[in-house]
Amino acid sequence: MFASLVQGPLPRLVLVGVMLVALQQTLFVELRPAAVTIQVVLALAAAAGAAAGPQKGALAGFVLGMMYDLRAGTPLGSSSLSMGLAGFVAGYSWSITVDPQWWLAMIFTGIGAAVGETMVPVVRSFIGEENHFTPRLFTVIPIVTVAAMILSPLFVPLGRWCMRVTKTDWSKVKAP
Amino acid sequence: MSLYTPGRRRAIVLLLLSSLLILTIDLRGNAILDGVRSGYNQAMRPFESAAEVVARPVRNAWRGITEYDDLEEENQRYQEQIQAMQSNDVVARAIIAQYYELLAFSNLESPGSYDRVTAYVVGQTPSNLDQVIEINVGTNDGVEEGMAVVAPNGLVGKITDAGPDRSRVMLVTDTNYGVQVKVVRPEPIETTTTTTTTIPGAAPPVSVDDTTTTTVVGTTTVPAPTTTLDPQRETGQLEGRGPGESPVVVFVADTPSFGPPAVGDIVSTSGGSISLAPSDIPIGEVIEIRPGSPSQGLGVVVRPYANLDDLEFVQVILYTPERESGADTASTLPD
Repeated sequence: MFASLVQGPLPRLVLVGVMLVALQQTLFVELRPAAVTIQVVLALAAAAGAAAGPQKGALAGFVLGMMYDLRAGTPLGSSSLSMGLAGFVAGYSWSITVDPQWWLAMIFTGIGAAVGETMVPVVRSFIGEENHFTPRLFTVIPIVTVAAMILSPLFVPLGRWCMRVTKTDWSKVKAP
Repeated sequence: MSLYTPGRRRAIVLLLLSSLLILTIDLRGNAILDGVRSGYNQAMRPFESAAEVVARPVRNAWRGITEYDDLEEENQRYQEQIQAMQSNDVVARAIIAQYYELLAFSNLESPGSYDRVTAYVVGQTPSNLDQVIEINVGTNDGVEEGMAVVAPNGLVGKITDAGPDRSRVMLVTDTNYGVQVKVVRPEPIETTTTTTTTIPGAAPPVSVDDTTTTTVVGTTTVPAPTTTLDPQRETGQLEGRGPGESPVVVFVADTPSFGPPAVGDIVSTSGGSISLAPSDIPIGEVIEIRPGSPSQGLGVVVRPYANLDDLEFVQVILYTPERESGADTASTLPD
């Protein structure tokens, strides 16, 4: 069990997650286009989904969301839900091809990030918090989405590495 | 390749249920989860320090690009404001001193009655929904959950999580923030009653200024003592509306004695045994009145005096409201 834990995606994911959460807390709370905080941790969750499929995307989102909640002081599990869904939705790129091209991964990373960011106020409403549905969401979601898409060329390979998914070398695949 | 095998579906459902379970446990309050959070925050410190080193030059460059013009304009505006405020400041200080003397004489509490701890803002939430900052004082400095946090010009928020040397502050604009407030007319209303006595055979009465005592031959105008009415007040509940939105005071009635609140009225904390803050801390100024439902009353939109987007130093008023004193104070910030 220990061996499977060490050899699985968790150590790499936690390592990268810690660094991204630290950057999220320091750098990205300052770089705020239109007063919106870019969600890099969410972007990685979505990118991992686009790179590794829905199941591994959901797992990456769950772990990264938990790390995010622990540091940000948000209700523990709320970001796991939203980021888990982001990774899961982004993993739909695998319904088109098991080895999505960079632009396809970019699109699905954006879709996943958009769904994840939309889920944040939904989850908060379910736990009794009010007044989160404001017109500002129409600014926040597009900016978070575009930022995730811009970051995807970097984050999709990173997500693939974290989830221990190897890119298929089509030159070595023999036709039947 | 099949995306959804039964095994995969089970794994996803398991993750979903785990999230919900952890969320439920955390919302109910759990010492183990609080301990995990505290340990994790402690472990993150070195990584954040390293990230801060990387972030500083990037941040400075970003600010240089995006904020230079704004800073110039802001600087010019502040210069003008400083000149205008310097004269007001002297008068205000004298009045405040007199006010505190009167309160002390009457054995009444004032915000100045409590000790304060000055703190530096060391971080803020990365969430796009929450309005939370982190400051560098904690329980070692006497800070406790629920204490009010102020900037020099007004209320900032309250402590929601106090660790030994760090605390989280929920800003007044956060959607979960609420505090009892009063809406006060800034100017006292002066009334002067004029009594005119006409002596037969003398010159006709002359109209005079309301507040000037004038004696005209044949007519004696005797002003009654000037009555200064206390600025009347209306109490309500201030609630945050999230980032980019001004807080709103709800449950304000359009009473005959006060009349409807007006733009320019001052909103300050009302104090009291259940309030989260001592009385008379200024919060902001009324900028809009929204008609509300009969049960909610009017919606009074308030512009906070404190610049919540650019806080650097704040003060924690060491006042524990009764409501918070019995609350679970297990901190999730690092020991």
